[in-house]
Amino acid sequence: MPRSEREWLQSALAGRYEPGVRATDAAPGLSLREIVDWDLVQLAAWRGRDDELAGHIGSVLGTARPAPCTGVDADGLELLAVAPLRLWCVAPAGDPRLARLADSLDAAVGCVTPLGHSHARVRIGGPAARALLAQEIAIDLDPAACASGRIARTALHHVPVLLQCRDAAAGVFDLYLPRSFAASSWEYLLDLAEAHGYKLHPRAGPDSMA
Amino acid sequence: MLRIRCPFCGDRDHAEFSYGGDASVERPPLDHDSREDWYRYVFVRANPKGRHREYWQHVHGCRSWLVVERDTGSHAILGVESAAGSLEPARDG
Amino acid sequence: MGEQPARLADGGRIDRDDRRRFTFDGRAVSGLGGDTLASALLANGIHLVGRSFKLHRPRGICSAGVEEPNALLTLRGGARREPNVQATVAELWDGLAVTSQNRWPSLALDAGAIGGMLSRLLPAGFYYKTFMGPTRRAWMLYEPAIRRAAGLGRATREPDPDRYERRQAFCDVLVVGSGPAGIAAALAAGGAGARVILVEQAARCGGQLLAEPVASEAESWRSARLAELAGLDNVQMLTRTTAFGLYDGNVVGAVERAWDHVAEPPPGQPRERAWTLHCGHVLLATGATERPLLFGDNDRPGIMLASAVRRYLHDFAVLPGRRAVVVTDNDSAYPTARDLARAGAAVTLVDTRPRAPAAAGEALAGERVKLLCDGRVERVEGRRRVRALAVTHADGRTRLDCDLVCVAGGWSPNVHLASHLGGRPEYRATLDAFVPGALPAGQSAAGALVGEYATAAAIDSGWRAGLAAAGAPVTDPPFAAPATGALPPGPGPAPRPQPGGRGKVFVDLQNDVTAADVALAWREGYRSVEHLKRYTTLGMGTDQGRTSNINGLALMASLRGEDIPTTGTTTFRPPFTPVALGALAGRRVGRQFRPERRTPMHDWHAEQGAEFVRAGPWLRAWYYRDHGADVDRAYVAEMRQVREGVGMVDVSTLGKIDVQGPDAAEFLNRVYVNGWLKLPIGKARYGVMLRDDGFVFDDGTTSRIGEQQYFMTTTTAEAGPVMSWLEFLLETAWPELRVQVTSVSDQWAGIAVAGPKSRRVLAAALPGVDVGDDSLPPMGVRDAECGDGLPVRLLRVSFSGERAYEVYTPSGYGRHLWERLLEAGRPFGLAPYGTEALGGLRIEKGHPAGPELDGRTTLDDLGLGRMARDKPFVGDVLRRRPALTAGDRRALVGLQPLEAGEPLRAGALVFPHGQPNEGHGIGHVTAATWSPTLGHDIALALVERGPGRHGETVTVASPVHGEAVTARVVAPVFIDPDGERIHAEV
Repeated sequence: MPRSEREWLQSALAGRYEPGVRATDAAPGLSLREIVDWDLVQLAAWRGRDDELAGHIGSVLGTARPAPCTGVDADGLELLAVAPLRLWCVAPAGDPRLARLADSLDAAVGCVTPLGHSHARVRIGGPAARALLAQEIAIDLDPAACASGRIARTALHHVPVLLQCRDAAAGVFDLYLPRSFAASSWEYLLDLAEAHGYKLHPRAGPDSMA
Repeated sequence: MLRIRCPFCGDRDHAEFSYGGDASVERPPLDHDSREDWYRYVFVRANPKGRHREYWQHVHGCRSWLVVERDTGSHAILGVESAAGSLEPARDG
Repeated sequence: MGEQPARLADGGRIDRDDRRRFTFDGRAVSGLGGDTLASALLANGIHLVGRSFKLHRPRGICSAGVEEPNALLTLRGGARREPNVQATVAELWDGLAVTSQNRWPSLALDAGAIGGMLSRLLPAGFYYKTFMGPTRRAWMLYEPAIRRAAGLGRATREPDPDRYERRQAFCDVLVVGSGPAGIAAALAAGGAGARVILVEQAARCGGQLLAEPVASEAESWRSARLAELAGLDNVQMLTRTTAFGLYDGNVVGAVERAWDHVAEPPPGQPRERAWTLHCGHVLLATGATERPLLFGDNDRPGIMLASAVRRYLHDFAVLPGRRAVVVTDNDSAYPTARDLARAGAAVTLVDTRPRAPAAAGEALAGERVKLLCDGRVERVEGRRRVRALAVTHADGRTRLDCDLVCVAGGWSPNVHLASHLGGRPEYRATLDAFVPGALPAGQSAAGALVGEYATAAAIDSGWRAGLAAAGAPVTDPPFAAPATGALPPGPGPAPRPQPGGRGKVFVDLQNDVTAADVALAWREGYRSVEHLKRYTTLGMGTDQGRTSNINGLALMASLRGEDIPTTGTTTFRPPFTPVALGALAGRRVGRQFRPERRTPMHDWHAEQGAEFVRAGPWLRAWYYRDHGADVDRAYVAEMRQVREGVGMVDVSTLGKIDVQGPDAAEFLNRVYVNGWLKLPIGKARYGVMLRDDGFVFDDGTTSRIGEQQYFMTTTTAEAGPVMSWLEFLLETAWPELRVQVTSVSDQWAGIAVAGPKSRRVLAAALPGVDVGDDSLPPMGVRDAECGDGLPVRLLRVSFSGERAYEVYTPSGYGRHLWERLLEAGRPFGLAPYGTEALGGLRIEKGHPAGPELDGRTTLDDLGLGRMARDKPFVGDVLRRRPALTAGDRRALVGLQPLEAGEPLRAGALVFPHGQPNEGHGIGHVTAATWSPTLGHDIALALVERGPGRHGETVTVASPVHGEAVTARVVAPVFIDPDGERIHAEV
């Protein structure tokens, strides 16, 4: 990681992020936070080589490939099965395993695409988290239908997003917003969130709770 | 509102998909030089009432191209498969 | 008591401690918590509440629900003023201001009604004849006056101050309606473990049970069952929620009037919430609506549906009249007569049948109700309130003094939702009504909707349907049905009474359609129900003809000498009741109407005074106000800056696609018209793609980054379509190719640095990166890291014709790179430029872009035919169609005015010089700019046989500007045709 990265790096939500409480009730229904200091690398297999990609992951991480539309957590490195033949590897920035996964992939099996700058990531918790998401997302988020670890690429007001259920029991979700749309989607989410009241926490790393 | 069961993502709202045209016409090979055949492939459509195979892309989801069999009379979705051939098991929405 | 004189001392589901004041046309009155506006008005003895749509006849409250045709009022004021609200649906709140509609100067004295003048002005078919006949033009003249006279209330013109919300929900079983059938169904499905949503349009659950006294077995049953439902975690009950449409895929649209029953919603809360309900099963228990009877002047205030009167008695403790006549053709009105009498009214019951059936007679046993059989209404007295009824009956003729007439013409099941997907309702003769036809899998119906009018039968059918919907074995209900005071209509339908008596016989009260209008339609040949509806406007009001459809249909059937099923029924379409557009929009209003895309440098542009322009969802810097007072001054300065020094522009909006794989070169070779197999690593190439039909699709540069890796750029506009197209080809046409394509548009920020000083700016801004011409020649590409670690991707490509570079960096560093370039470029005079200058520069250079790539141009039209290689590529076969190779096609040329000061404009038409400027001309201007290099306007144009016309003189006409400029056709490259400037450096 470049020495001055922190100075150079600008969140897609910059200028639109003021931590604090916006609620009429004592207890806001939502807890919101931007997740920073993470990186994302996409691994994609050529058609018919996905088993070898799974083998590659197993050999680097000792983890089995996740089922479609789910994620698995390998000691803080999350593997998300986002599409046929494709995995997103999400880890705290600087996790050496990301580089290992990328560098050691056989070019006969598949390819690597860094996507760490392509999204803003927002964590949504609190008792009204599902109600907030259900204002826009047409996916059944009931714990019976959407368990912890489940991911879904879907649309939020015409914007393609990735939704990850981190904790079904507590109702904690991560939303990955495409960077160019992130400011607009974030303003929209905050507007929707007013109906529930929210606490916006300071930005934090991936291991923080909502 | 149609719900389409993406083989990868499960049941989703049709708003996540974009329509991609008739899947019952066969695309000529790239080096096929018959103008007549390309003309038929690009322009000539049967427009049936009833069962129809058509392309949809799950553009806001996994981006897979799908072949959806739809009843154009009732809008019932009769089947969905990956256009590239099913690679990974479908799961329930 | 002085106020609310018609309020009964006991009973009702109202809160007597919660007095609510409101005004009606300025008059201060009061009601109680739990009242609807209608029940509160009736409690105050107010029946006259409006004037009718067309004829301005005085009208009163007719019903107790969404079927209300008459009592349409304007609620609130200012920005919240809302017209046409049914008094029978609106809940009363303290401080509500209500005004009546369609009257002038006052409700009691209305000028529009004088002499029934509008009756003669606006016969049935008025609108139809006006629009279809030779009088169409006269409509323009009279429209304002007629619209003013015939109409409803007026909406506010101010912005809506309230919030609305959308919500998605999923359930196994949706139950629509909370009458006895709906309650039983929800309990059955919920008890079987299904996830259940129960929607009820009213504020209170219970349906017809609400017409039962509060001290009754029915009420005990209702409250016990509702308590059981509330105890089930898997059952969600939504009151004040109307299921307004049933759509494909068992999706139900519903609107919840969440905070419409208070003066203002609490902060942050929505006034209404639009639900999209995704249902495994939809169980309809939507009940039935009572029909009025047809007789002369049947629209007078004080004439109400019998079932509504019973509801007002027991739900609201309101006695709508003290001398009542109940006119019925079936048994179901007998309990109304009985309960009115018990509440202290003097009651006469007129049954149109020769004699009352035993069950009905029993209901009146021991009650002080006078019964007249074989009855007909001859005449109604009273204009602003019914005063007396003249009836003939088995024993002769009687004039009955009265202040309330309860009418009961049988029941129409509410089949609307069951018909929204195209299912035709089915006429059932034993009910004299339509019931749902065969329902598709995943839908069912129960209760009064299927003709189970008796409470016990409704409960039983609801329970069984609920179990079946949940996929559970069907058993008997675990609870006994309560005894109720209600009666089903009877064993079979009575012969439908012919409309008679003096005065107008209203079929549709809201749209003022009379029996005579139906007959007129029939005489004029409009005999199908769909024609009848459009010709007379029967059933086309805001109430959708809930009380009028069957009566109108029966009239037409008898005129045609046919039965009702042969005559048919009209189509039911969503919404079931009006839905506020605001609820459908939710928070997708104002700036959030659609999402906006912003580049990583967006905020810098905004801070530095950029004006933005929309390009699809993108906001792009158009020009910078520092560079000129308006766009025309600023862009010229910005263009000059690039030509003479150095400028930079944010090109992050370009589509960027990562193309990788062993077969990537082969893939590119198939989708682009030019050759890609020999592109070396570290080089970029301009490429053009065609569509299958042979027209140009998109262009851009693609660079070879590694052995198997390419970096493709597309135009801003086509980035999404190109991405989908590449995926389509890889998944359907060439699945054998080992290639992956991934959009990296959001991963990279892009900045074009252009101008003769551009290299020196890069050298200063990117320490440690060799930007010399040897390492980065034209079309060279390099991935590099600055000495301090900043990663960049450099492309030596030019859109302006100047020496230029595109510099990419991961988007999180985009603003930093932008500011770093600006800082390093200060000694060189670097300044940013916007899209207007970007466009001007490319016009000077003659590069085709969006306006020329309009989906109708070929490679040859754009002068790019030389690019195509002899190899198979997408679109190659059909681009050689005769129509696409004909010599008379419009092709790209340049235009310059003969007189330097004359303007050329995009969109102008090109005509041969000296000929009249008529028709479409021989071409059109696609793009124009003022050229600071040449000192006059220049333009690109698509002109028939364009390349053969170089040197010709043409007329460039812009009729909307009143301009016709004489111009010369020239080659489309205005500056530096030999392309030397990309090497130039100062």
